[in-house]
Amino acid sequence: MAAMPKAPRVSAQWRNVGRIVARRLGLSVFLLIGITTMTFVLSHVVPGDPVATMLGDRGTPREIARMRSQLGLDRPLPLQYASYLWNLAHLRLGTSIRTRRPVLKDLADYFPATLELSTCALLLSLALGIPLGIASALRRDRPLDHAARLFSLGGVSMPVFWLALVLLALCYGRWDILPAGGRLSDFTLPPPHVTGLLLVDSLLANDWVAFRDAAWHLIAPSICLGYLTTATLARQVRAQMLEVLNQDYIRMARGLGLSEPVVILKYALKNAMLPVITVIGLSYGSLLSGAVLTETIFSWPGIGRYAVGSSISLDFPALMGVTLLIAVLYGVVNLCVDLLYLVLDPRIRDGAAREIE
Amino acid sequence: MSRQSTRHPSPSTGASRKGTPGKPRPRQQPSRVWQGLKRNPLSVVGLVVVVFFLLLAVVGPYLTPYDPTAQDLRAALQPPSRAHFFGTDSLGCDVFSRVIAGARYSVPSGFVVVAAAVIIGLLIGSVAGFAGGWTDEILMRVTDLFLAFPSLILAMAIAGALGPSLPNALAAIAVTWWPAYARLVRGEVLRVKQAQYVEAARALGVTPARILWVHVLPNCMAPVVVAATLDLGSVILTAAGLSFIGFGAQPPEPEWGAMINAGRAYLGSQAWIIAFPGLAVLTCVMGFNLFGDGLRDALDPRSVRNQGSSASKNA
Amino acid sequence: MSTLLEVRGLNVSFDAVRVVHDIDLTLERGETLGIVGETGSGKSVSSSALMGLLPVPPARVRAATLSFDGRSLLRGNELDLRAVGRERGRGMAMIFQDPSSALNPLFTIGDVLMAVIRRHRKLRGTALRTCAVELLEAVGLPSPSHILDSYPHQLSGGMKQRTAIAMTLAAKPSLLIADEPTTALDATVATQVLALLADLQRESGVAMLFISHDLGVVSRVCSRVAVMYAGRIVEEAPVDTLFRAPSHPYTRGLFAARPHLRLPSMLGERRVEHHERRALLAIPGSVPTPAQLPAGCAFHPRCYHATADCNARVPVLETLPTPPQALTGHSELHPARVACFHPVLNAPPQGD
Repeated sequence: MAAMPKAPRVSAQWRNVGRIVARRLGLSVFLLIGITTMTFVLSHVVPGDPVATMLGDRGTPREIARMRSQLGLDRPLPLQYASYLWNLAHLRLGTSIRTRRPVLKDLADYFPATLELSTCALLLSLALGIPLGIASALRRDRPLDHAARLFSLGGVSMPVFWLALVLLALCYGRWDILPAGGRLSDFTLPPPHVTGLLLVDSLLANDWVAFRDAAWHLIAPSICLGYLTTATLARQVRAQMLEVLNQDYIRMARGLGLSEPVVILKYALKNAMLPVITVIGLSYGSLLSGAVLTETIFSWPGIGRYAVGSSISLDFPALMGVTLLIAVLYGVVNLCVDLLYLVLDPRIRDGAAREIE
Repeated sequence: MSRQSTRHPSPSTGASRKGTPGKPRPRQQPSRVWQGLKRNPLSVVGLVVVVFFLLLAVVGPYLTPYDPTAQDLRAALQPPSRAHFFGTDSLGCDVFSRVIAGARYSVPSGFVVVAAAVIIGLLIGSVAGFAGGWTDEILMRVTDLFLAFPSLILAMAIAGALGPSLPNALAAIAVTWWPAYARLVRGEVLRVKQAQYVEAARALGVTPARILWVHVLPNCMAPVVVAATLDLGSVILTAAGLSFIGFGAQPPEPEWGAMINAGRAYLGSQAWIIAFPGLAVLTCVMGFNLFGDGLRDALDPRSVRNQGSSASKNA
Repeated sequence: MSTLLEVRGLNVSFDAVRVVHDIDLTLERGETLGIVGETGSGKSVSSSALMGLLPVPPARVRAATLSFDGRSLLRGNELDLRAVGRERGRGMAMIFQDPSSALNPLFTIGDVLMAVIRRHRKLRGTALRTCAVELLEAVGLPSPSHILDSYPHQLSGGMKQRTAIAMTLAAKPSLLIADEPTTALDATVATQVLALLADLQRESGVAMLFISHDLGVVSRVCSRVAVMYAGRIVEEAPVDTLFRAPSHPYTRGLFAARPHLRLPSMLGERRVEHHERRALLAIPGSVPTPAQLPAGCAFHPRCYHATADCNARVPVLETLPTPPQALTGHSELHPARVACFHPVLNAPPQGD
């Protein structure tokens, strides 16, 4: 007779969770140190002189030297690096050469705009890409599938900046149904600052005018930013769904007479989404860091545009701040993905399956 | 009688590149890949587009009706006409000539970056996968580091420091592009490493370097080739994007992204200035994607296995 | 007995390659029919086709007659997926070869099992859970309530197959299709699962279509056997007739290739006595691929008895002249039939 099922105890499961989280955190710390080192080296070996750029025509050699010592740029590199790390550990990211404000403050100002935009873009892609992928897989090689694949092909081939310009030319220039850019219209009073996310803040303040205006401004940039992700998701979901629908456990579920919606949306979708989660995480990470083009075109005051401005003026403290922020975001997103795997896949929870890299 | 498999023949499902551990993919004869490609008309379209742009990159500059950088302010901002198929831009340059000349920037950009990324990725990935242990751990953590580094920001920093130019932008893209290949190659090497013929070679005393070079790497190449083809399009997009925000090719160079940026001011009134370079990017990238998709389906080990399942099982 | 499943002229093709040719099957209520054949003979494909489980764009399923429980499952001569869908679970259910791949790794046993019970027995709440526990008990699983909350990877192969059987029973089907249910299991576990299936069949009176490549296994659960080769049924007979006197050269080849085989009544213990050891006779050549079937009888290139006419025409299943010693007790409903121009009559197996 068969033995008792070898279900691991709950404590063993928690040990696994702890191990995975600890590993991810350890990797994140390593990643952060590595990235700061890389940025530091990059910013200090390059030939450009930010002070000269900053002072421009007014930069007499004496003036430049005074400024350099004021910014600590005349000290030996290892010392500069040590003090940089020391400051980082205390969350002092330095002062932006361009805006002359603490970088942390700048990031706090610019990041919510990016967060709001990328989150909207991601939600849009999830809402569109997943159903599209499922429908495409179920109607494989039928007209709907062909249309969906064409749409996805467009998404992975479209130059975002060009799409943005075309959208602007049509929706703003020709039909005037969408704004030209920015987060709010000039005549709309911004809601009181709580989170920095205008949609959330306006809801908190019960300010529907601001909410509608903010949402109106989000439409075009979200579409531009989200198209690629939508396309990627639709392709991935389609491929995974086709793979899963061919599995024995789905044929079994169908063979047991379970209704088609239950089989597809409950039993097949969960399995198909498992590998897609990684894609979603990666996409969100690149949305958060890759909004540079979209933000530039739609005058969106996010970290992408901040980074463009900073690199034009060789503002390395600011650039390092942005890089660091993005690295942290990557770490956080990856941690969330890992945790989601733990929630969704009992095999990983039990440590029975190899962890995802 | 052999154990029965319940798998039914089913065409490839694309995308995922999981392989059975220890089972080497059958090496593909070119004719067979071509057969696979031909079955899918869209991938043939992709191939035609790719070849078209490749030709354009090679002979395009000799075909342009005008010098792509010759300014003629008297003829500025003219709409498309028989003299200027795609109209003229704000400096009077012929947009048609510039779009044709742009192929020489974008198409080689893609190849240079992807080639660099593939070479670095092959090197790091194969060593990591083949050596295993600490070497693997260290190499892969370094790879993660570069993977987490935002490519656009890096490109901007390099452009800011070394001055904006297309080669600088490409270098920045390549630096952030190779980690994906390192991971891909490592995974493939780990899979192939367990194959029996590799074990056999090792037992025969073949040197590790030779095993890697002769037995392992050739069997890892199919997914690398597919990823590279698909990436050509993405690199072209990224390079055009960098040029668009001014960190890549600089005007008056006839690069598509830079042309679109220069035409921004005339968005509402003289749309042809940005419409045609944009369409060029879109078509070119789409061609690479279509071809890459077709190549993936043709090379997909599972589709090959399934097609030949009943034939090979008893042979 | 009344007819539960009637199949006439079943054809299955993938992308214009026919893998199943004109199969006729009849199954009475409560009867057990075994289908035996090598890999690629089309036995699994036909059963999946009956369940409507083949991916339909590449696959195409046609038949002259296909009725289940008196209801036709055809629209025109194509399989009507909707009609089959209505029969699945309650009408016919299927057990798969590999229990590890047949259970969804992301859901607990209880989740799926109770979904099936809810669907077919309309139970809710405690009654639902009780029913699930009873079903798991019925298939001989220890601590059923514990198993309900387990995931497939926490169970052994035999337990997985038992839970799969419990799931099919939850729908109370009148036909159970078992597609090599013991092939993926260890020998001892396979014996237990086989015994379980035989018991359940006896108790519940469910009709069973038992697919296997193993004549011995089939003989333990089935009363009638159909032998398939290259997408066709080449011989069909009551199990003891077949074991006493297999008449198709291919069937005889199968017997000759088995290490040890006894009459059904004596099976169960797998004892090989030394003096019975003999050389295994392999059938020469290999199974043809569906795309390149030989003309005429698909077996003729491998057959010792083949003559010119085997090359010319495809033999159809025909009733054999009944040997006098086999007359007793057998239903005239399903007499032994063979598709061969040169059947071997009244000879015990291994004689070739």
